[in-house]
Amino acid sequence: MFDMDASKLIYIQIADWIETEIIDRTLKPDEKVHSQYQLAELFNINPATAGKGLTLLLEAKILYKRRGLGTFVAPDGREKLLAKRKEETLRKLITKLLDEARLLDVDDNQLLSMIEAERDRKKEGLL
Amino acid sequence: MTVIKFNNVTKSYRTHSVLDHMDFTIEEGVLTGVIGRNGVGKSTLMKISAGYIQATSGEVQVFSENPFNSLKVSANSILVDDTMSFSDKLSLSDILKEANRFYLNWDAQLAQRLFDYFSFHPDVRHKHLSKGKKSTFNAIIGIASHCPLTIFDEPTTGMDTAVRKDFYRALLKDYIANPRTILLSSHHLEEIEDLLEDILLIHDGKIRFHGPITDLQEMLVKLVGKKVNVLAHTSKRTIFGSQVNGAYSEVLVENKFTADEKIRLSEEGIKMIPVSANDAYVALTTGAKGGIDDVFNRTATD
Amino acid sequence: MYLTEPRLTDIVKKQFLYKLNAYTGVFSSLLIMQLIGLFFGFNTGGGSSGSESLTINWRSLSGDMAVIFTLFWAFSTGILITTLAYRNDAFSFVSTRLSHHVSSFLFLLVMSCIAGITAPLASSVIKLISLFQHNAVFIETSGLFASPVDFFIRIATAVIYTILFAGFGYVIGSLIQLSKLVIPFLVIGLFILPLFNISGTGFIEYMVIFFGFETSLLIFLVKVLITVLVLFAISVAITNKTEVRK
Repeated sequence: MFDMDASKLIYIQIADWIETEIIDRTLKPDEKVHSQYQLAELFNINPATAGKGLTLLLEAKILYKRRGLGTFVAPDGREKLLAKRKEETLRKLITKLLDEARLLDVDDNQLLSMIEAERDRKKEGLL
Repeated sequence: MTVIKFNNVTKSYRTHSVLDHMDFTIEEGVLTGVIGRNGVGKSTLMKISAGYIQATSGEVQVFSENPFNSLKVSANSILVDDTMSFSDKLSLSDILKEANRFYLNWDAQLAQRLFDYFSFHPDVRHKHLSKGKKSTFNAIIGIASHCPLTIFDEPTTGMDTAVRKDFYRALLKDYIANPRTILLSSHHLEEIEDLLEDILLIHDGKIRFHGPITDLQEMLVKLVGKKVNVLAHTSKRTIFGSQVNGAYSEVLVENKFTADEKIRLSEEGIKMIPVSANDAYVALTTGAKGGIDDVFNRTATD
Repeated sequence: MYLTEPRLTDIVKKQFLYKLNAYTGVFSSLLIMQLIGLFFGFNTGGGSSGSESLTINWRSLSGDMAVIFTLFWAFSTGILITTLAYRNDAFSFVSTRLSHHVSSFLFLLVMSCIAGITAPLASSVIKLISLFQHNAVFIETSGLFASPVDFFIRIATAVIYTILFAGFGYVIGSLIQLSKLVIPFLVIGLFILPLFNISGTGFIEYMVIFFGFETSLLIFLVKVLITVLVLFAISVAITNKTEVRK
């Protein structure tokens, strides 16, 4: 029962998956998104649950609906997502990072240099 | 359109009642999981809906008719369970032919493809099949019949894991292609959780929960953190289950926290973890007796 | 998904065809019973008598045993197809209690006709076999060629009796399905009470007089038809609430 991996609900996972597709530009603005039925088959879940994932993004105006045609990526969908992710995900990670640093007695300068070092290492790795 | 309607339905046998003044409706096109512990009346509910047995009191309507002795209900519904029996004079392929004659929406091609995929021999008799194979064969009939009301009562009994996965996948694909009202019961909610739209949770002969499965998943939340911190937040709440592991504890409570409370929780290092429908179901049906841990705790203190 | 609006006659037809395919065991049991009947038919009696100059060895052969065994078959088949296993088989596909009864009854009717026709024919088989066995004087009951009318009356009588027995089997089977307690009551009522000569209890005796002593084929037919319809109505009425696939 002690399952520390906080797995998300399946329809939120679906929304996350579409968000990532928009952020990495697999889905472009005004491009058609998978229907709830396609998503249901893809993820092996009930179409209604898949539909809830889409509804989540429709409500956030990241997607929009065209009657009888399907669901599409909003022109400014990606920008909204970037802002949202910066606010939510990145800030959460930074809070965590700061908490951990305090716990380990790492001061701000040390932390910044660690971040820089890591960035450099990653750049080399990419080259 | 409402497909099944139970109005104050009771089913009792000489010694005990199985369904106790039950009310619910199932809407057209919804895939509902009928969930409950052993012997809570899942099968009884399904057999009443199919018109095989009769309610002791109350009103049952399926397609706006009393299903008991209704030709319309019988022709438009199918109940797949382990009481499905076929004369041993009929081979498996004969049975498929008969099913084709009885069910007007029968998909003969699909039936044959599934029959071949699961490697059935056409000349074998139904009663000579192993338990798992029998379940698989019955499930093929259930899927291919394309009945507007399709009921599966523990359809995967005896099937091995691979076949179970195949069956659920086949059911989902066919449901997407041919939307219809489906009732599905299983002891293993975790296996069918993602497949369901709604859940009908029966406990002690009553409906304990009926609604979208996501509502059940969001009904409870698991707080995990240091024992003292968690206790401060849960002392005034109904606790649906708890487990202590050293200095840490894990408590299931209703998912009713204000935004402020959520921030406080996170500041105190308490994690809010979503609960699977299965865990929520176990928590809701454990009842006043507590969990299995309480059985041991009680003997320790006695 | 659209709903189908089934017609009772349509479902009954489908079920009747299904039962013809699924209940082939009933055919084979008929065949076995008539063969046993034939076997007993060869051993009904015999002897010899005569003086110094003439000895007559006689042996009587009877086709009646085939008919008697057929009636027994009809009675037990009537009971058999009311049992739980047969009912559950029917309810694996589209069925209501009424459509199940009607199609079962049609099935019994058709089977009874086949059985009723084949039973008298079995006696012809006996004659044929004995003809090859013994080159002796042959006194026979009228056959198809000797007296066609007699022969057809025999077949008609056999068919009607078979239907009657199947009907009694069916209603008794239905009663048993209602409650197993029916069995001791039936045994006591039909077989034990008449032994004590209590008035009004000789049901079997009364039936024999009612049907067996009837000399007009037409009246006999009407009597049987009405009886069978009443039996059928009773069966439907008492099992209309029966639960299936419990």
